[in-house]
Amino acid sequence: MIKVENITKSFIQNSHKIEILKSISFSVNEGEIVSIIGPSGSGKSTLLSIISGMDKPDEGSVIIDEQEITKMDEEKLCKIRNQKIGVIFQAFELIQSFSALENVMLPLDIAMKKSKEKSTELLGTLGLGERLDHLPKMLSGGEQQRVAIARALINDPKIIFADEPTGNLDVETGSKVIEILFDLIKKFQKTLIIITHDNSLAKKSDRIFRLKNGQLKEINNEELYI
Amino acid sequence: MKNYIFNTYFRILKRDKAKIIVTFLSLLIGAFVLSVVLGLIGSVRTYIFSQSKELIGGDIVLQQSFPIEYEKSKNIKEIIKNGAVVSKKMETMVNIEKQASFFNFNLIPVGLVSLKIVSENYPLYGQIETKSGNKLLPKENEIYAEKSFFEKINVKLGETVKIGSGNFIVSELLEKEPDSFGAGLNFMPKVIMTFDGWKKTGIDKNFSRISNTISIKITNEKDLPKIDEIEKEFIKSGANVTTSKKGPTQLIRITEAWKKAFLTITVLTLFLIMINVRTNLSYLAGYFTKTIAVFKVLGMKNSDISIIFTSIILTISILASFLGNMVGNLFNIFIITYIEKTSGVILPKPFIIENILLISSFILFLALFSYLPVFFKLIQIKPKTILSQPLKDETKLNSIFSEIIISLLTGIGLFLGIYYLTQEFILSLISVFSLTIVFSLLILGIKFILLFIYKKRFSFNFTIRSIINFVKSQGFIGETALATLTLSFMGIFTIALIQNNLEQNLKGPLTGKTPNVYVLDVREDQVTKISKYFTDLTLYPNVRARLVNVDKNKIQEDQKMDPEFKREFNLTYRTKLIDGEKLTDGVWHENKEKGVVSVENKFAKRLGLKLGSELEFLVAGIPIKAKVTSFRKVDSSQGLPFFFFVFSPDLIESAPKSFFGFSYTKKESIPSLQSKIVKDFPNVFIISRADVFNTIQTITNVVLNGVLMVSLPSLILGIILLFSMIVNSARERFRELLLFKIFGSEKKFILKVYLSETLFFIIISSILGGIFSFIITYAVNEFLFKFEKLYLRYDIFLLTVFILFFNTLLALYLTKKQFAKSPSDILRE
Repeated sequence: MIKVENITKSFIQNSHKIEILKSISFSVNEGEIVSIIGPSGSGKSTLLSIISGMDKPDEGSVIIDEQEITKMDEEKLCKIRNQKIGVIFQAFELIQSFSALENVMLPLDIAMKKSKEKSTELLGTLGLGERLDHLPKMLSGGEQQRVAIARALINDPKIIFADEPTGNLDVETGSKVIEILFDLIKKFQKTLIIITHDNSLAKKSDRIFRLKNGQLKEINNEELYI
Repeated sequence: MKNYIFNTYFRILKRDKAKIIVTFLSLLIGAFVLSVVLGLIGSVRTYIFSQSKELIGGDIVLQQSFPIEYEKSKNIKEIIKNGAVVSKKMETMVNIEKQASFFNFNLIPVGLVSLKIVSENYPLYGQIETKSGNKLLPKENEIYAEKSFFEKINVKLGETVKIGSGNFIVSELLEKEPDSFGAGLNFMPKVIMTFDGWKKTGIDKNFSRISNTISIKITNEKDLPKIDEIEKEFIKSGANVTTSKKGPTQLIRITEAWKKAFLTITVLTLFLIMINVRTNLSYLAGYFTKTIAVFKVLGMKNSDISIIFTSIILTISILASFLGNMVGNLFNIFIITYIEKTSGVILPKPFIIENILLISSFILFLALFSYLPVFFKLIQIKPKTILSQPLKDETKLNSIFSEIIISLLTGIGLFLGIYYLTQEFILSLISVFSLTIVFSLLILGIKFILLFIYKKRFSFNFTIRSIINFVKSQGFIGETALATLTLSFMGIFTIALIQNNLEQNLKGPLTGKTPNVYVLDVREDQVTKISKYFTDLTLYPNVRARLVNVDKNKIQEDQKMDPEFKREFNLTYRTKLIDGEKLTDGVWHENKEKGVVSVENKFAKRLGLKLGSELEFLVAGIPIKAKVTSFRKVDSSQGLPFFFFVFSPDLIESAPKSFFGFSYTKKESIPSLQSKIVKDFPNVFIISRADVFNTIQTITNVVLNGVLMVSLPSLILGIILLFSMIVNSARERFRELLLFKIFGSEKKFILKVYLSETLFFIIISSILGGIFSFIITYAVNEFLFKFEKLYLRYDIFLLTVFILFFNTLLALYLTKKQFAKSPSDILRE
């Protein structure tokens, strides 16, 4: 499903080159739930933005569904983002001037497909049937994240990327959101790559990778606490 | 002051300049407009009243179209005995001819001029000034001419011209005549000669379009009370009387009319300033809400917050009013210098400390009152605001109620300002209420329209839905920006439409019925002879008279009477209705009835006439009475002669008269016709349609361009608020739009949505402003000007295109750097 080969990424800061990702390679199969853990500032979000097509690496390639996205032009990449990828953010990143319903409709609107009925149904499934017309500022954190999950799933993508989806939520709300997310992933048979620093969340995944010192290594549950 | 208060105040001023720029610019424009309007009005009024005697030409001035028999007045004889000086003056229009060329001795007419004929002791007050410094009157064979004479007529200084049968050297360039503006504005080139010179012309202008003036200078103080007696005496005899006490009434009337027009625009501008300041400060308060909540959590008191924000407002207001005053006064100096160069009139310079202090105080006052509602909001912020709680309906309701109360408070500042400008309590109250109501209705209307469209938004495609969402999300600020811009567009469009409508109606439609040539000042004995010079000439008798009584109500002595009814009228007589006339009531007098008059219907309504009303006129001092037996509707759009009063022949056929009329002579034949007429009938002048239109156009353009200039600030204010909204929300909005990229949207789509959102405000407000301006123009045409036709123009929307263009440039500039970012860059911000 996803093949990542020799991804390297560095930033220039005060004339010094800082290598964030050093020749990272891994692959994810269809239907897998994969967690990437690591300390703060280790480059997890940078890795996620590269493999989700939001950024380009200095070197290496990312292949999604047999299409290399790293060398794609913007127009084709837009199509991939719209049709094959869904993204969930830590800060929800909902459009403030759109209602909950309209936020969920957004990916289908961009694809110029009919969107209202499907979006209404999905929000209903997530317990937000009474909140369709509410603006994000009128929703709690958990409700906003559920809207974001619905938005990520509405266009029936193959892969969902989630960057610290519970980072802005309290423990109880966070676990409820994760439960909903995992249920939906399994129900719709999607692939999920999730960035987290929460070991208990990582344990629920099929596979765990640890990013440390710019390098990625697959670990098991026991190695989580080392 | 505590350190942190000063630091916060200073930090906001330094780092958040962009957020308070609207307030600063709005107050600056307000100070500028006030200083220009008050300064110019003040200068003109000071000039008029300080130069009163010079402007009107004496302590008392009598004027009428017939010779004034002042020698018969007992009062005047008495004051002459005590040393009073009397000066005579005649004003009329004449044709100027000159030699065709050096080799060709034939005479050709070169132009029509306004001629002033003066006696040897002119002027009684002030003196004439010429370019060479000569202060004496022209000799018998000389004329002096002003600058526009040389610019418009093909004659040079020192050349010889012919007027009637006399030859005159144009010997001086006249720079100043003390009484040239006293009678109002005159757009014909001016020429001055003495009575000795006039005799040389041999022109007989009796009963023609001539103005006779007697000016009296009182030298013995004891005779000053005689002014009132002389005034009463000559008003009764039908003369127009001006005294130095009242000042040059016509000029004062014109100045007052201009003052009202300018003040109306100024009041609208001040209102928009108030809206701008309040909206901008509301936005600022919204921006700082969370910050203030944090301050409060950390222990800051309401009084400290008040000091910070009030200090910011004071700083901005003082700076803005200082700069606005300076720029306004410099602008006034420029205008005054321009007036001096073009007309020779030296207005006093407007750098008046009192004005500057007054304007600054008013601007400060206006800013503080506009800030009041924002102030109340700021002190109500609670620390728990940090936690994003959902809005409750009750909270919303409360805030609408308090919004209304607080809004009324801000009107107080405006009311006091208008009261100072107009000195009329009721008018000021009505102005504030009208403006507030109109603006509130506009905002309510916009709110409802937006709400309606928002509810129906799913009927539209994604792009339009996105625009609707953005506009709705702007809330009160967006609605205010739309309303302000609508008002601004409405103001500018209305003035342009009225200008065009006035111009087109005065010109008349270019149909076959509009004459090419008008013929004036034909004597009775010349009628038959002059008709032979034209293939078609229609002449009407013209008797000059003043209306003294309407159903025994005295007109001339009534102080409250509209001056329009006190002027001299052109009466005529005939037994048939002419083209363009139609009876609306009563019975037309044919050969049957005697002692009757037909009146133009709209004029009759204004005078309050009924069928059977009795009118009394003074014709050359002789009273003429007539009964109203019919009302006529006259189509003035064809450019045909227009008479308010048409008598039965018996009453005024034998009165002193001249004739005037029109012809459809071909345009190419007019110059040669003019030459022949001038040669054989020196008292007659013919004027082409083109000349008439040009003069009318000049007059209307001067007036309306002045008003348009003063109303531009209101448009600028509307645009400032809009641009500020765009700039302030750009970063946040664009970040959101770039999120579309993450969900697969292409760059051109994002740009399309962003530009559409910003252009939406301009397009909608210009359409709304256009609709309102059409309605106002229709109402003005129908009820004020009462023209038959309404002329509209659609090129006014070019202004919209112009603003759209600049708005697009601004939007593209703001988004230039944003587009270069990748989605992950955006998320990192």
